[in-house]
Amino acid sequence: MHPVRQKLKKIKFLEIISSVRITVVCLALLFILTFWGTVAQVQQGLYYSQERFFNSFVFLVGGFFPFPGARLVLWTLFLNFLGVTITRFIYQRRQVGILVIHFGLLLYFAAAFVTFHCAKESHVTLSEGEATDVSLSYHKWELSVWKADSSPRTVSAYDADGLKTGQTLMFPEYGLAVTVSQYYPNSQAFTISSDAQKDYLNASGIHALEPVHVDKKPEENFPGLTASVQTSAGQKFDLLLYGAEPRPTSILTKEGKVFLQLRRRRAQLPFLLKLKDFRMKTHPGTEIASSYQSLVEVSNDNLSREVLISMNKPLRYKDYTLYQASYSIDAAGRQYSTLAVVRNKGRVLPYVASLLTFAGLLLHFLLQGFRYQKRQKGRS
Amino acid sequence: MKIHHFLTFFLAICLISCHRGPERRVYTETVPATRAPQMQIPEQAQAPRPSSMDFSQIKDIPRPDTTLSWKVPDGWSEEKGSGIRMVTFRSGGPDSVEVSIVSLGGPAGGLEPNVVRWAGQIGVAVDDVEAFIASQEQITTDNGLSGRIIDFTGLQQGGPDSAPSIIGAVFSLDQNSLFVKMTGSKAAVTAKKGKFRQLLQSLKAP
Repeated sequence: MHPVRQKLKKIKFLEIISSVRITVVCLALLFILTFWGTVAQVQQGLYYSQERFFNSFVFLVGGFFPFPGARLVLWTLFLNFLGVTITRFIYQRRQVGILVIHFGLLLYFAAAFVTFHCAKESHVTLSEGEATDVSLSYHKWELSVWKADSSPRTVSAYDADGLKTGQTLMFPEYGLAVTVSQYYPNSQAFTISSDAQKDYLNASGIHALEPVHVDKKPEENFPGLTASVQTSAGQKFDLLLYGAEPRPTSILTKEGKVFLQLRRRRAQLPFLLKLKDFRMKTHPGTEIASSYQSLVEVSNDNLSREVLISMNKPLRYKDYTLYQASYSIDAAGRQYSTLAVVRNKGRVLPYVASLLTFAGLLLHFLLQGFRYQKRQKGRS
Repeated sequence: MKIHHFLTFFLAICLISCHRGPERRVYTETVPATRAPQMQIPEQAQAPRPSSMDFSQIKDIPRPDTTLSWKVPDGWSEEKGSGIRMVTFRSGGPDSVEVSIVSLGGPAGGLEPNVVRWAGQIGVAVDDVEAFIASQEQITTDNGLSGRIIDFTGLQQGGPDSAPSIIGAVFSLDQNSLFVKMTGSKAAVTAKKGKFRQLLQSLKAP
């Protein structure tokens, strides 16, 4: 064994972390967490289950008993694999298959790390004939300002998460300074309130906001904001914005009309997406959808192509993947298709890890086969 | 470098990175057509508000006139309003409608934003608001008030009868605007449109 490895092997921490018992316990815990998290999401919702079981290091069962979350288990398993690779492997030609398999497994962890920290999920909802080049966040919000109510338009925005009382947001291109008075991550709005203290500017006739307990399901939360707005001409007024408002509030400044809205965070897409056709099939005699698919046109740099997105056939564009996620019909009978947009810069990594693991298995079995044949020949 | 020097340096870096202010993002957005909202704002009363106004003129907006009178349609009950809601009528019966009259000073944002807001409350998308308003019936009351009836049931053809719907009317008076709104199921507001018209015809302003 290499002298450096011999030294490493003597480190107590590496010796403990490389234990096979840890591997077995971690795999058992992963099995429990996967089963538990999958069952829990029926009652508690997908997002909450993901956060509790898979994105946490530790969570409390029954409010007091700590249980390891998937993040802690996966980090432990990663260190376990790394420890084994460093201290226990026998680096010989005949073991090369096993080594490649372990490198493949370690790459899975790297892929999970990159996906967890870098992947961004959002969605696009379009009716037939509509096009957009931005996607909407599921849970994050922004305070956005634009000048012309036309399309396309240039938008200035600040993320609403973590806005604090007294914080001033500058929009120099519109000559606006917005000083936050109150920001509620979840709130209820009222068009009439007996305790309304200010004459707020609001496009929907909202007079008052009341904070509401933040729901475990982020999609149930609608933030609200009150702010003091000052224009470059010295005009001052009180503004109220609510996340569920369909229309922006506009103000007339010396520079012209400016629109403000508290809305779901937008992410720029590197292409223009147009829904050309939406098709839905239902189970015979019912209104339950059996399949639905969207024919979209993807345009960028004067090039465009048509792609049919269906349940198991997503659209892939660079590091973006668009899945058919949902559909809806409004009161006027118009159909909307919702596409989940996932941007993952490491989306190739799991494929590489799978190939590497497969190659390792193949190599190992082939080598074992050759060795077996050699032994048989030696005996004969 | 001793360990506590390293820790101090590390802590300082962490503190500096924690104090970053909010970052402004600028992007270009291609906007789909006007959408129906996903959620309705609960209301204790209807209060159309300006969506755009010149704030240098806010002091000049007169107080709402409360001397309006009307004749309650047969079979309807009248409840005294509060705040800027002057009165509420209910038709009674199993599939009843509610009618409110709200008076606001000035143009109150104008007809267009209020029509969009009403459309949003019942989850109906109006692509061309100006064309929709132009297609709606104009009305002149017995007392000579001029206004326009906004009937959203026409946009809900093919939809279920139980879908929430609105038939409203907007009158622009000298110093204020009157908003009369009938809400209920599509079937109910369609059935009560005649009595709603009777109520509108009976409105008298000084």
